[in-house]
Amino acid sequence: MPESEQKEIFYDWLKKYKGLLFKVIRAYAFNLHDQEDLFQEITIQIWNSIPNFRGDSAASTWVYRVSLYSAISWSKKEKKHSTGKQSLDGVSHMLTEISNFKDSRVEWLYTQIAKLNEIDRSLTLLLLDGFSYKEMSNILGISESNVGVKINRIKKDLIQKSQEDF
Amino acid sequence: MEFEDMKKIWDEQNNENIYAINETELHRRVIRNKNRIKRMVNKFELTLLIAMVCCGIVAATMGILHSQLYKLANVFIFFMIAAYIYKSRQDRIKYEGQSNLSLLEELEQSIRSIDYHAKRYKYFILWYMLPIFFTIIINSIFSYGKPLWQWAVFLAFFAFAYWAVKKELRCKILPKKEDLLHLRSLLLNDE
Repeated sequence: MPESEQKEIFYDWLKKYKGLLFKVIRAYAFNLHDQEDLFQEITIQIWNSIPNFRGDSAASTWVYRVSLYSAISWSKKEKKHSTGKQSLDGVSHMLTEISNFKDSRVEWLYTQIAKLNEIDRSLTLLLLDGFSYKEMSNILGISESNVGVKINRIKKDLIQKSQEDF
Repeated sequence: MEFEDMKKIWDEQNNENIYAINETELHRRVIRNKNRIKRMVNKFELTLLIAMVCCGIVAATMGILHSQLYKLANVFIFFMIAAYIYKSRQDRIKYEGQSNLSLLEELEQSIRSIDYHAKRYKYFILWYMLPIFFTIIINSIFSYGKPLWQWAVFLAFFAFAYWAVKKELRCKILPKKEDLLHLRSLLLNDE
């Protein structure tokens, strides 16, 4: 695939699906340094995946799958290498926070999501973004019944915690 | 709070731009890193492959120029190692060429890739170092009077290489496999 075409698709996806990417980043990284690092990792993987995209699934599903796998791999690596991070001073930033949108209930949701293991976190994101059990099963590669069991557990825990906290 | 309420709260984010993206910086980093992973994986294999082919050519040239036919045994060993590296590389590329994989399939492909690396590291002594050691023995048999200190250097080199390979396997390769297996069990748990 010519690089110009790959670049066009890449920026088109970035424009359409940046909201989705930001949600994944916020769910797996908790300070600006890590969020930039993860954002870089995810965008590189998306770039590399573009020549392999055949249109068998929706582009949003493809981007979500690549983002989740990158985030899960990154969070495993990040746990091991959490010391010795480069200071942000003097480094050109890719991401700048611009929004004052700070709904405490959204913050509470991200806090609860952060407490889950990497797989349950990805399921919660997919569930909140309205993916069906079948789509989740395709993305994760597990049976729909397994998705159902995990989702029911996650929902039950979230509802119980919301009753304790609100 | 019911789950449907949580979903409504979650969807309210969709209308907000949380971050601004510096597209120039993004493009620079993506282009710089796009082939990083492929480069790292290729480096070891191609370096070893080229080294073995070069050693074979040098051994063949020396053997022919000096009429030392025993060096052809060295040539054979070097080219056999190169062929083994090439075959292993083709096997790896075959697995990694697949696309549109689910998360579980990606994990399993990564685990297979780690197993491939672990196997290669585990048999490093057998498939790489022993053949090279035999070429040294063959050379020594036909070139008399090798001083003892040279033998000590060879043995020290092999001992160091063996230790380095085992350390890499223990400290990097196997822990990575543990992480992947843990993720796979989280996915398949509850089934």
